[in-house]
Amino acid sequence: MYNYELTQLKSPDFPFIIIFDLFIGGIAAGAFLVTVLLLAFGGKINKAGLHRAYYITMALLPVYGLLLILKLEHKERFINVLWQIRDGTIMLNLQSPMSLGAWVMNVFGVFALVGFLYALKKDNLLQFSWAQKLYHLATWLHEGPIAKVFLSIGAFFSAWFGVYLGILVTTSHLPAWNATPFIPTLWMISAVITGVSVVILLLIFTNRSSQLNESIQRLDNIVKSVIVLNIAMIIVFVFALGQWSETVTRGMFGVLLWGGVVGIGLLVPLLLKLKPNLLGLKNSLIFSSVLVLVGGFILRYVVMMGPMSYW
Amino acid sequence: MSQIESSKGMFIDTTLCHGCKACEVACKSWNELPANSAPSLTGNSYDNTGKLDGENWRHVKFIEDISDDRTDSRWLFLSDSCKHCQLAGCMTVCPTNAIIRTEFDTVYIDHDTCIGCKYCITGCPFGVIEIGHLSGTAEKCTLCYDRLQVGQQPACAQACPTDCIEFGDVPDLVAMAKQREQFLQSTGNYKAELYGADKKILGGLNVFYMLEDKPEKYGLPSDPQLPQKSMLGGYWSSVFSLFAVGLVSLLSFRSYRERKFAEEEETTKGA
Ligand code: SF4
Ligand code: SF4
Repeated sequence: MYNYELTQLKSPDFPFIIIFDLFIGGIAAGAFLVTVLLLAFGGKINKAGLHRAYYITMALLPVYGLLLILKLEHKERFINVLWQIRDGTIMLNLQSPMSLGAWVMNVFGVFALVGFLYALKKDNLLQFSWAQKLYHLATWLHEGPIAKVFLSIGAFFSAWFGVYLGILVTTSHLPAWNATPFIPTLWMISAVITGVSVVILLLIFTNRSSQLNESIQRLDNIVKSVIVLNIAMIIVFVFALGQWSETVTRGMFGVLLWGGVVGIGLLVPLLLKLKPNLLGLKNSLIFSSVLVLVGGFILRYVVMMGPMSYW
Repeated sequence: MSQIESSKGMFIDTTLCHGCKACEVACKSWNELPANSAPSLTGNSYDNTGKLDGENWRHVKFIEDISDDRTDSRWLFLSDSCKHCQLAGCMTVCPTNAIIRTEFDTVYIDHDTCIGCKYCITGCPFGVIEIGHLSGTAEKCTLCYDRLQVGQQPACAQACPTDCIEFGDVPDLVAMAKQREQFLQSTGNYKAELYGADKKILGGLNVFYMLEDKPEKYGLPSDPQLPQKSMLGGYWSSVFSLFAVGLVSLLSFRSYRERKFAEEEETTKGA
């Protein structure tokens, strides 16, 4: 709408692909963050199969990068984000969340790769003889004397990556996106439950002879608690938007936010997790995890498209 | 960034503008920008350009200012473009350094470097930049960089028949604008005020304005900021969320363990 009394700000009209991008990036960060935290500080509990979360991060990070490139108008120039061709120097603009985020993603990618090698070693998969030293290094980094330090640094970068997805949106002039500092928070919390839900699904489908039951239950416990946090955060977020709350609660966006995200994506999964007898334990786990993913996707859709289409 | 040789800019005196749009036409013509699709009527104003975008680097805003009781009305015009801010939000967020400051202290987009990520669109507090449909890169006024290089003034300034657009060195323009402000106020135009001539607005705008009313009337923010203003809050709230999520996750683990132990103890006792 054109209104002279309003500042004539413009929506960037990011393409729809950005929703997939943020969703996938969130899962990669959330799955990795919880895994390294549990591996480092989870104590002597049963963590069977947890390392498989690394497969998820390793599979999704390249997809994230690819989608990032696909949303550019000049896809063939994506390298300009890392390399300043004009001056022949490394490209890093510390003031730009997008520039900084690209480097954070690269560092996070290195940690994801090390985790992936560790997971391959643990599962005895793809054990190429020429890469034995790398597998040993990955194992040493995970189980050796500096494991806690290594995993903590990995946690830091995965958290930064997850947070950057929100900072990217907040650092703008689009009303609603800059009206509250809570978008990074909201997405980090959502990244944890969607990431852990994907890990749960992976463990369920690779669970031979019930070895992973305890890990699955422990992870499910995390999702249950963080779902409550997520609902609280959505309410805080909408209130914090003040006059711009309309951008995410009007018409279809409101239905999607309250019905799709809070109802179907959070409350129903919570009910299924608290009352697993309703569908049976395994079915409840699968169904609730899938619904959490659906909710996480819709959340990103509402927060991105609501304000962009309002202006 | 180039070595700054001189600080070029424009003083737009909206009190002199009569909305002829010669500047818009000159801009389109010199920069070979595509024509607007016809007919393109906004339907709510005589202003049918509507806004600045990839194909309209200059836009004469027509403000039909009618009093609430509709007994009084007037026209306000503002020849709008990129302000070539000293603290340019577009430049700070660009992830490729495609937006640079030239030797004339103006803000210029290097089209060979721009990747079309659209991030600068959200970085500009004035809604100036948009992606050009033909180039696929960010587009905005260059202050006729090619003309400045050969010692000419921008096409819009040359075409303006009322001298509403004055081009020159920024310090000279500011001095001229201050005199004009005093004159207007002394002749009863008490609301006449400069916008962007001093450092209060984004460290100073190289293209600044004499307004006849509050900035909002012209669709200008009264206190524009860099987009990074909201970045720090985002980081702080994230630190909070990370602590919260970490704590909740660990407590959830513990509660599971304790429940398990309790169950195991029960079983042992039962046996
Ligand atoms: S007006 Fe907008 S596009 Fe022009 S320099 Fe300032 S921030 Fe950049
Ligand atoms: S669209 Fe181009 S100029 Fe704008 S931020 Fe992206 S790379 Fe920079």
